[in-house]
Amino acid sequence: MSLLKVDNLKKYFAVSSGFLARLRKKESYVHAVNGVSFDIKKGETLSLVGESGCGKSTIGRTVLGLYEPTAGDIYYDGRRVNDMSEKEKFKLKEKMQMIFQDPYSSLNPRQKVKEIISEPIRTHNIVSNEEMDDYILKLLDKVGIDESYLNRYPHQFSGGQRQRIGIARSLAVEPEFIVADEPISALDVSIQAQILNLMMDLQEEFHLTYLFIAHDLSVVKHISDRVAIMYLGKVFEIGDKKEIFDHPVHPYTEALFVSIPKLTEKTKENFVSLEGDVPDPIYLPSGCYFHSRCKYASNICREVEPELKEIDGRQVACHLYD
Amino acid sequence: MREKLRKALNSDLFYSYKNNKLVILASIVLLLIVFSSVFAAFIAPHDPYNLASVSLMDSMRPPSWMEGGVGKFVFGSDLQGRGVLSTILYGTRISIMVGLAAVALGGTVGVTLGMISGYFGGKVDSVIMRMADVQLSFPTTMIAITVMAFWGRGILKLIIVIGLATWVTYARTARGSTLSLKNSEFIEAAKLIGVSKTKIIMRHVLPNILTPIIVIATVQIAQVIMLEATLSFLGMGVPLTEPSLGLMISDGYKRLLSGSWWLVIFPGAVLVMIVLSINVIGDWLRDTLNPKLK
Amino acid sequence: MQKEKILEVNNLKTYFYTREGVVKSVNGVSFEVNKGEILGIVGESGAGKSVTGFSLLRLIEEPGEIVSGEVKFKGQDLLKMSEKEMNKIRGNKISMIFQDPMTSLNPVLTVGRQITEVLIFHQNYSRKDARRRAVELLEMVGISSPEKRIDHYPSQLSGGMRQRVVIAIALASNPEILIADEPTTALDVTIQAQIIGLMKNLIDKFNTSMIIISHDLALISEIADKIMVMYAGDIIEYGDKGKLISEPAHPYTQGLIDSLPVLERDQKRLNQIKGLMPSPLDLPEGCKFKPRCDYAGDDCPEGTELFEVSKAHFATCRKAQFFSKKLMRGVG
Repeated sequence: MSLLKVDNLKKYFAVSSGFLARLRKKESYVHAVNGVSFDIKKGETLSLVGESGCGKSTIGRTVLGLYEPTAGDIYYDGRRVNDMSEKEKFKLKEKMQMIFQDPYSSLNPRQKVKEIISEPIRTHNIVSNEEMDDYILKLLDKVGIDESYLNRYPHQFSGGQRQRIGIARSLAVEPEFIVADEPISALDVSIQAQILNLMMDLQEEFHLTYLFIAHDLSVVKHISDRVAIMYLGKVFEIGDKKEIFDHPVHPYTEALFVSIPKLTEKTKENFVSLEGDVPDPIYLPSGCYFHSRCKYASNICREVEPELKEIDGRQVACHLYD
Repeated sequence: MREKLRKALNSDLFYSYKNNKLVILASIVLLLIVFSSVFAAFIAPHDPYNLASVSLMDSMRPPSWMEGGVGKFVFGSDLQGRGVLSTILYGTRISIMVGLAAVALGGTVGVTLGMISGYFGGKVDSVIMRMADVQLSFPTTMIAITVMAFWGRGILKLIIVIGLATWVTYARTARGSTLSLKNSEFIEAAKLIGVSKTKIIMRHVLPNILTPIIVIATVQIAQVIMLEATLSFLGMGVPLTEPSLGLMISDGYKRLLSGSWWLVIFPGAVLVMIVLSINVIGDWLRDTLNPKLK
Repeated sequence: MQKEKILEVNNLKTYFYTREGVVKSVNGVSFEVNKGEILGIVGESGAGKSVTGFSLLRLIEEPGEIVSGEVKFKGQDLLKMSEKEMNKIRGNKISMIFQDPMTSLNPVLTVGRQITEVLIFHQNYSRKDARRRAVELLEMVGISSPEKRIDHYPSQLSGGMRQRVVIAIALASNPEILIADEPTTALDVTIQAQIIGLMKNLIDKFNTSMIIISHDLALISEIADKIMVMYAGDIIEYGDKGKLISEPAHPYTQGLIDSLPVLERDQKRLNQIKGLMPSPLDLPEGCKFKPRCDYAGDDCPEGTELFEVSKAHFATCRKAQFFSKKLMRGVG
């Protein structure tokens, strides 16, 4: 059974409009997520991949309850999160946690490492006060931070070390499910591999389930079991990692693969894989959201929105395969 | 303890302090004034509130170095025979006390309302900020004068009125800082842990917005002391029995035409020195702690 | 054929005098750029790559200082020039593109104003001609309906478009060298590909030289002719792109290559470089990578001098070649 199920999730953000527009009841919205469904099995890693503005971070935050969904449902362990009482929702926070993107803004600069990590433990009474120090040291050891750093402030650490501290904080409540929002994109190249490896080790040790959010396909290859490619708040292609990496089907997925810089001894001839920019999420395009940039676009693409269909062992939303 | 001291001496703040002669001078002046007024009872030549030590025989003495001056009254004496120096020392104590207390009150009320306003947003925010707007559309001095005119003199009343008349400055800054902070990832992390809203505000918001608040409070102390002086000058501040600097200036002003300049110049100079040195320190704090805040 | 040497940097040192001590951000680097050539500078944060770029144009501010060295542009030492002479070079003969297009564009001036300013200041254009030329430049960098866009403000453009405008401004003065500091780091991958492709095309078209600075070795390998790898203020490997990628000599270069996720290969764990970048105030003696190096030992080279590994390929250490993992790496 799936641990997390997201059903037709939509999330719009009101754009703060002028006084006159509000008077005329003309509010505009950023359509961040436009009907997304997926599920994640226990112990599995699903990666959401897409460029900025594709709604991947919004999904992660809505799943965790930081945002109210505009429409759609989220089920955890078979229970609809919206049906839960406040007490149950508080209990749920012990099971679902998040690893953040920016190691500089994700730790309170005025708290010591010890205070940062003890906050979740105290809030959920994970261990008694006597056991607290031992527990924190064990956590720090797991993420590779020396115990002598317990009384230091975040600014005394490098980006990679801060990210480790953030990971320790999210592990403190012994969660089952973790949303990792671009956890390595702000780190140096040599540190990225360290953090990815750490996350994979922790997943094995604590049987974690990950929703891994990234803008770069090459990063998710190692950690994912399944991958979902997103564009303008829609899933374009979702399926097993192997299928998608071996032969991408959707034109956008293909373009993403071509765009990734690859180590080469020869200078690249043709860089451009995709013309133009992502359309404005306030005024969504008609038909397939990708048609303005797609070299295969035909009339039907401009008029009819494609549905996700099973093609070659994964689901794809594209008229090319009708 | 020694560790903490070593850290403080090594901090950026102390480093910048060491290299700023004007600030060193200002803090020495301020420290001297505060110290001597706090220990006025031991330093002052006599107690101006003690009628037994005051004699009408000594009334209106000029400063000691002038003709007719006596050594007992270095800065001269007033109509009741109280020494100007002694009165200044005691008066400064009242001025500074009113300043600190009013800033503490205004700051607490303002920062609390500002954080609530910024963190919760929506209707709460609208109500609090409209209140602030209304209050801001009247000059602070005018509000204080009006209330004090109805309520009458008194040190405690003065602190409450000045404190509540100045909360808006803190509230606006606190709200702005809270707004820019409330979407940071560490606040999101606290929400995801399930930390209560009160604890988020106290533990995560407050410590991170204190820097600009401290800067503002420093400058506000000077302004509040001025406001207190203004009110007392106009006869709506401290009671006559406990003269502050403002009241002394007001008293002396009435006798300025008769040539008793010492009654105005000395308390006036002390007031200026206090305000100036606090402002110098405040400006320096602002530049050092938060270069972006201008 | 002897190529024309356009920039020659000798033993450049840029130090920052902070309260905690002296940070030797650039600690004696030497390299050269030929006409029409693209040099890629690769390194992680704190490697000194951006400071190197800024030093070339003398854009180092307090508490930083260019301590010594030569930056010879067509034989003239830029470090010895007066500030007035330097202004004629900066933004004219040598242009720079920064990481964040939003901060390098002035938000209250239209795109057109910002381009024409360069033309009028450096190229003595009349206002009318400058505008005509600005439209041409916008068209050249691939902005659609340039006559309309010229009157737009930066905030009305997307990130990719802004970076195109920045490129148009940088190229407005027909520079001989273009320095691009992480020009695509703030952009999405598909837009990054567009911008890199655009820069490469324009560089080739005008035979301009370019120094491109990035943390992304893969990206650099796709565009550069020569690569220079920096670590903690030193050049640790420098040379012909093909050789440096196929036969990395320095263990750090090899570590960077190995830690790149490779799409084509199946592998569960990523290869990682152990440890952290050393503190710039507390650098190890000799080779600064030694504490993190798998091959470190008593036989490590003493100094941080570059030596010739093979023709047009220099490094401070060649241990990676003795322990070559090339067969396992599968370089494409």
